[in-house]
Amino acid sequence: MVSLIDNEGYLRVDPTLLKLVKLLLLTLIFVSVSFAAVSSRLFSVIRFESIIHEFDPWFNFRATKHLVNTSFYEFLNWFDDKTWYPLGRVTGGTLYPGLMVTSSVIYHILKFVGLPVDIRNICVLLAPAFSSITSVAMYLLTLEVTSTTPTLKHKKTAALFSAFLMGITPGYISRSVAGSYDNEAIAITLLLVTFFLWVKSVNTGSIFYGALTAMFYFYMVSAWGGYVFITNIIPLHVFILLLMGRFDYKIYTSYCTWYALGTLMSMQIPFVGFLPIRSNDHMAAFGVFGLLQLVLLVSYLKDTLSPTKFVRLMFAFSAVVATVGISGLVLATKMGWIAPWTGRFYSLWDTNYAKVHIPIIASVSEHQPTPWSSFFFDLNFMIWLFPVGVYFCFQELSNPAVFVIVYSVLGSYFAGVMVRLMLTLAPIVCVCAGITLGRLFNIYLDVKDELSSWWNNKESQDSLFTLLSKMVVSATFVFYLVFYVQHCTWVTSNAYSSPSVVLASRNPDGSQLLIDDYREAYYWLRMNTPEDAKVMAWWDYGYQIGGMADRTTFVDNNTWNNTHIATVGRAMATSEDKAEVIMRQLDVDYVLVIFGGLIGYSGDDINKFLWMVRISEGIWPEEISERNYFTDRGAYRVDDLATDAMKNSLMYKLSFYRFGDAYNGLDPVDRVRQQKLSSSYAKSITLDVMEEAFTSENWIVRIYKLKNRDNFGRDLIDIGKKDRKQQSKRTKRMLSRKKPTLDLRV
Amino acid sequence: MIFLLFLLTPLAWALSSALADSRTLVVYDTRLPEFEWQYSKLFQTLRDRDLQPELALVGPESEPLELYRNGYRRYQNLLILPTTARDIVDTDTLLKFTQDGGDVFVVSDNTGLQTDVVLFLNELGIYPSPKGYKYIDYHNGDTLEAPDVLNKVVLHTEKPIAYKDGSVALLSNNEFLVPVVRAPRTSYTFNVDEGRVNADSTWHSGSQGYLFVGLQGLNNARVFWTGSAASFKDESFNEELVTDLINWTFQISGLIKATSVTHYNENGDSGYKIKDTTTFEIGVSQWDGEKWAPFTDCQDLQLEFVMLDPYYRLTLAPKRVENSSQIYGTTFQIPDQHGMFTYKVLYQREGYSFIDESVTVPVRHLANDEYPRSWEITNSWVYLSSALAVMVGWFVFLVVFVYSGNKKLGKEKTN
Repeated sequence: MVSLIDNEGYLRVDPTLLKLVKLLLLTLIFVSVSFAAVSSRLFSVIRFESIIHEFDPWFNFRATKHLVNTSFYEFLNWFDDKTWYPLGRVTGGTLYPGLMVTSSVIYHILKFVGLPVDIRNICVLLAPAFSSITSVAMYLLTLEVTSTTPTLKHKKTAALFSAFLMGITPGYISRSVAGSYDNEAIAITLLLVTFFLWVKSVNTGSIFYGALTAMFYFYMVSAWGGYVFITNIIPLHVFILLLMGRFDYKIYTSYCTWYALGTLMSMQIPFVGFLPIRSNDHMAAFGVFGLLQLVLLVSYLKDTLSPTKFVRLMFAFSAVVATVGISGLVLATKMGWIAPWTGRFYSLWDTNYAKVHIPIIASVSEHQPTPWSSFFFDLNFMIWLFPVGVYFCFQELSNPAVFVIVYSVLGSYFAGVMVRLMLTLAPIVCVCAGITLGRLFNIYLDVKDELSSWWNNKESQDSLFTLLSKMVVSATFVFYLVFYVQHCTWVTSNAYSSPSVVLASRNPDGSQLLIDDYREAYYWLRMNTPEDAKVMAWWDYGYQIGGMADRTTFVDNNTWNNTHIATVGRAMATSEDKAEVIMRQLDVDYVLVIFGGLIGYSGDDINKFLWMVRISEGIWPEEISERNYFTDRGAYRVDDLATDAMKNSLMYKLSFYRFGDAYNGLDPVDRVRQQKLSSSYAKSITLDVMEEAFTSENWIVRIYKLKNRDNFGRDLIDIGKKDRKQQSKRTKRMLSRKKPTLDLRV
Repeated sequence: MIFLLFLLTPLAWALSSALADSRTLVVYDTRLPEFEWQYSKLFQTLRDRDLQPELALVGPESEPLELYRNGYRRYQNLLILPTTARDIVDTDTLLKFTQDGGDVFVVSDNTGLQTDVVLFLNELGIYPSPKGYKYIDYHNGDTLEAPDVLNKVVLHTEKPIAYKDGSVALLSNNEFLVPVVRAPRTSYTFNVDEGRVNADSTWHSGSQGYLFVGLQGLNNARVFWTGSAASFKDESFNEELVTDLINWTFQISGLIKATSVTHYNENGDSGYKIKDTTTFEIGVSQWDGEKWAPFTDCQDLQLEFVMLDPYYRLTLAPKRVENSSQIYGTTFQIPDQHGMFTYKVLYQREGYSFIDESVTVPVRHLANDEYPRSWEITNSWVYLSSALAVMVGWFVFLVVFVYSGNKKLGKEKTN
């Protein structure tokens, strides 16, 4: 007999069996959460194919291939001569290698055990695989956070809820669908593991966990630039604990272990290098490290000195420390020993800063402030469970709870500033929502008393109503949970599963139409241009050209050199003759532009054109002015009424060259800008220094070849003008007899 | 076999073009006096040079010249003698002909030139005076006693040149033009129909004008124009002048080429990193009329080492003769800057074929293990010793701390 009902009416079960059942249930839950997490991320593979998405992943993919094909040494010292021509890029020293190393290790392990899997498939499926690990890490973190909560009876409930919520929250899925082979794919997992270990080491005060925290911090540093978030949130946590008077040796041990090891290890990443001791982003961690030593000293003095002496000493001491510290910081910044606050950092505080000062940062769509609706879109009902969870943490205010509060505040703020930082907010929202739901179900799903009273046939109205109200609340939340799953699935399937390399559209009859212009064009480049051909395009497409077409690019998504980008922008924004000079200097062979006017693809270069103008205006304000591209009334026009600067710009000509031909003599319509060009005007858009080399099926990608210099040194534009004149024989004869007006020959 | 060799020997001695095929089409107007009476010496000169001249007689009714057949260029060279026929060839064909590498020699005079040919010359920046304008020089008459020769590579002689019934060209600032003989200071061209000599009725005055002008395109195709046929006619045939001009235009003289371009790292590596020492070598040959020979004594051959801007501009020194080419080279240290650098030799001297060679190489940064170790840098000894001192000091402190405890205190505690 493994179970029986004891004399008090409780069901008694054999403890070993109970443990076994619990373990089985736990495993089952994890398996289902992992299954849900992975399967919802596979929409894109099923709908389209196993393909790398978007922009940055193409670079990561290319770098991974380089790592797999060569050695780690080669990868570390990789000088990439196919990007940023002619500057080149010290790629090995300017990337976070964690992602590539992870997939290459997986590749080699699989190969070793006799499963040769294509590196592309590993890269495509890495993010979903890591998402299931994330939910485990989330479980551990929540469990650790709630481990000291006395009011929470079933701690695992909260933890399991948070794991489930994390598994499918759109805020996280947006960066981790299959094919989205980006740093964030593994970084969020590492972020959570690091935080879990940190909370654990604060709870236990163990050097072992402190060292483990540092290890995973190092892994995180190697994987994502967002590691700075950890670098700041842990010191802040400690600082607030100090202010609360919670100083103890557990905190001291774990922080010092983490800081010393973590900093030393993070400096081994070439891209990070000496940043941890130079950059202001890391100063908080250093400051808190120093502060902890002082606090330790003070607490020692407090024990040995008399109170009056101690107070006097404290005042003198703190004054000296404050002056020395602040003046040292100011001096070091002024002298340039420590890096000035970076632009990206400023834009975190002032959302308008980037737009005014650094257009290149503002031009990235994911650096825009978050619209409030996207909070609901990405987090669904958790957005109102979140404050409740934070409230519970305030109620409790244990060390881990303070951590959750600190993280919540910072995470919410940053998520409000930049769209992409929604990613860092999502985990803590899941923790808080998990705690809330855990508590809620702890109370409302606990019907033991009611059941027992019903069992014992005690006539009691109260228990029935309590039971009913409990059922109603539980049912409501079960409904919310079901709705959450539905919402997440819908969002994932509709918003986050497009590879953006292949576009999906609908035919008039409702059937699906795949627009594959990008790959068509990149493949054309790969097959039809010389291997050392250099392709000029706006930086958005740099990684894709490198990854898919394998051709040399001038600028790419690693926007490290603003001047070079501005040069390309200037070539696009100026007139043909000036652009020709720039292009010849850069050795351009082909120019690639994205044009959506024919089928109404709004993410095209004409819509991005103003950023090119702004970025180049930042460097050549006397030559390029944003105002010139708007009509007198301030409208952005591309039709007959466009301004001269617009009509003459290379980008405009490349986009609309022969646009009229697609409409068979009718007035062509730009479907993105909703503007109609007259057919006669469309015909008058000419191009002299370049010739059309390729235009994709839907005209999304247009590739032009820079013509060779004229054999006899004539100006290509003059030749074009002459050709278009079509003079009669007679005029020509008259012309040949006319004395030319020539400059004095020198 | 021996007989064949005997046949070939005299041919090998004569000057010939460096090109495998150098068929020449000579265009002559039927309405002018018999060609043989006028230009037999010129024709013989062409024949001597193995230029396989072919005569095309054009008249008012003749078809346009067939320079192309089935899309292929039929002739390497085109020689247009003075003609008044219209529509013998159109401008675009001529431009295409030269762009494909064909050479054109135009001899005109003041009886006028075919419109399309003039338009072709105009495209290149040569503006010959049209029909009706007369070249007049009251001091020298119809002979240039001391011609103002501007380019010694093309024309070696400075002997008097007959210039009768001539027209004169104005030139644009086109860089590819090679002016050979300038009009004398005392000359002018004047439209006799206008009556009075004024700014409108003169085409050129003084040294504004040019009498012999060449042009070499980027593809080394050559075009030559001269405004008087006097020196080409049998009656006043100027052999030195004609051979020089024919030689230059039809690719026999002034021909140089780069035979080899090599560069290597002095330390034997296959690639380059910053601050490596590199050697660049280029072999240059010159066509001496029979074979390719070393192009020696060139003092101004320069190498540029470019990334966006030239980091170096070095004059290449002659090193050795290899096969039939003179090797010029230089050794220099790559700057402390990584990137895609281009070795660029752009040798464009008037009269010579252009040499435009460029090789792009990546110059990488130092690898992680190529920096000097810390102890190799004397400056770092301060920091190294301080770090060591801290470590040793800490260890000593530990030992002292552990083994010099207050034993009395310990005893009290245990009690």
